[in-house]
Amino acid sequence: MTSGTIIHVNVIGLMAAVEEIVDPGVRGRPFVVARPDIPRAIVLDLSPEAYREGVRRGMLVQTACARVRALKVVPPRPELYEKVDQSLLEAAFCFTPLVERAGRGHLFLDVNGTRRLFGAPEDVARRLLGEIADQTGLVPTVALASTKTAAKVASRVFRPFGFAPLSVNDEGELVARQPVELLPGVGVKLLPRLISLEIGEIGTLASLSMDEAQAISARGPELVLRARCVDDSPVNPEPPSRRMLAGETVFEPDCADPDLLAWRAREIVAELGFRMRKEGFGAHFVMAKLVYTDGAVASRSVRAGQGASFVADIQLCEAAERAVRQAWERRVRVRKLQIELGGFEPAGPELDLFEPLPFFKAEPEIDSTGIQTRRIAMHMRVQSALDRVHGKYGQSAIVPAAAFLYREGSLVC
Amino acid sequence: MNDEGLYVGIVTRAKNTGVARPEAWLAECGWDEWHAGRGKREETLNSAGAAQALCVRLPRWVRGFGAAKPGATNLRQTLKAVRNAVEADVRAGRVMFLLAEFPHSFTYSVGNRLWLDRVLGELEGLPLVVGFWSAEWYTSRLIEGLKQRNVALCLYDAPRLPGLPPAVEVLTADRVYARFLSRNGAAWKNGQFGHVLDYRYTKKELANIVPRLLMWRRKAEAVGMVFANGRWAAESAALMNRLLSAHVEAQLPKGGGP
Repeated sequence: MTSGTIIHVNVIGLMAAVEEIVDPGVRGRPFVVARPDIPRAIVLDLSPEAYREGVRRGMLVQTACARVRALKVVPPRPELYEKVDQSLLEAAFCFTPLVERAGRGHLFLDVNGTRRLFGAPEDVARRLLGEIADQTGLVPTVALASTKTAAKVASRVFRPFGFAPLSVNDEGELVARQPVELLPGVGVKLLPRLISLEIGEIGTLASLSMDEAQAISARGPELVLRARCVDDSPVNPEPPSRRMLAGETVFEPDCADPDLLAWRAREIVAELGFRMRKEGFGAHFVMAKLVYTDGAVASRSVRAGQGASFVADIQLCEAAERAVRQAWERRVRVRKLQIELGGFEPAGPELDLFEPLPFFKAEPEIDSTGIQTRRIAMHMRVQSALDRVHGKYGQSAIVPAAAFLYREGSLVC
Repeated sequence: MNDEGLYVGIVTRAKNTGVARPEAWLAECGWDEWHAGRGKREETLNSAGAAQALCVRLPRWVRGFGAAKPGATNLRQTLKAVRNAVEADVRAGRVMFLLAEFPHSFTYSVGNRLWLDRVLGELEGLPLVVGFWSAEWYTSRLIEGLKQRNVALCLYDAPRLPGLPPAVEVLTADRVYARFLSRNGAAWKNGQFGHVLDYRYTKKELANIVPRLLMWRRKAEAVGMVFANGRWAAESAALMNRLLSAHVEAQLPKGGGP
């Protein structure tokens, strides 16, 4: 029976696992990784023993200490964790160049086409486990499946230290039997809604029709497809933060109209935004690059606030317009306009991926510009519908009415 | 390999194993078989000072698909009898694992889950291992439940065929127990049940597993593995023993002495 080619490596509690290796004295004891030098420090990571005692990640250290008397607080060593993370990556690169970093201690590998070099995918997964154990001393959970979703779910079920090489025929059934909270994208906001609808297993979610899925959440249909293990997202070797989407337009004749320039920027950024949202990302910055008639170049970028990102068109367009206005400093016509989106991050915390509201709560910069959270939330619903139409019929299927004002760089009416 | 916490054994089905001296091996034996030879074994054990039964399979009436134990009026009494019978041997280290293996017909129903919960509750504290032949049982809920009760999930090395348990490995307790059945997928598929277990593990296949077993050993207190591949069981077990010894020796620090 054939197996998939996607391997998911999941080092559960990387920080705590590293601390156990560095200091064997803490092994078997309840301990947390947290900064002891700050007054309201939170638990960054914890040992399985501490977890069994009721300590959780994100909990205040004081609360954790009150709960477990013998709790040891270990200061974090970010450089060491980074080094270990890098070792994981290097071990993975021994088998395939298609390695995606999905957070600290999490990797996706695509070993398609490596059979003649390293053998069957299952053998590769086993050898990778051995390599990681030899190089770092860590024992991760490794799952092998045909999609990233199935591999992710399997790694969440068979942990810790698990190995789950799923065959293509079995993985759908195995995933379907698991609790719905293990499906990527189902988080603390969505889970109560699913439970109230008596959707407790992934299989139940998978059996919903698209109309029913739409009623659950704006991105419910996507969730249902995931539940059915329909996931064509490739293993992307480029780290999300380094990826960049760019689009450009050349003005014929050169442009001196600020409204037209702004409109073109909006047009480009809308297309880029659609591609970005399809991947499930938000952009941390929007950059506008202008090439003047005389060949001079100017660029400016607008960044989202700390921990926030631009997701919806309403945010992206506003940011692009601001970037263009800031970049156009000279009273010279513009020949070419280029817009870039970068600094991609998952669109909000993974657990809340399908909830529109929380994305924007932590965006002081956007709120300070006067855009109300409620308005953005409403816009996201429209955005979601537009994205579906654009995905099915192309970008030109629905365009804003204002687009008819500008044709070939000139005012039509 | 006993000193290292790694135990290799074979299934004592005299007809299938073809082993001339089964007593030379750690063995996984059935409940009745274990009971019948108990007195005899104790004598041997006391003189040898080593464990003889790697694993004892719990009787059918514990596993919910047979008649109740004669003389017992309810499940609690039945399980109490099991506990009484085996507890002393477990404490003395003469039995290292207790295997409750559930057949394909033992489905993932509410009633069966309650049954399992009662069985695990009554036998708490014993080195229990549960194995399921129905793939339905391989859920997060079961894994978490076993972790809470410190019960090991039996790992199977069997062909990857629909209906058979998935070849997953997971640590749910402080012990690991693996059964090497066969990789004779063709026989399973074609219904040649007489040849299903007629499989000779190659050195390469077993060598691939060794690093994983050593990894388990680092995380668990005891790792047991039993070969149930018919007439090749003893040969495979011996080969595995040699491979493990070679690995362990290779990992020992090499020093020239003082």
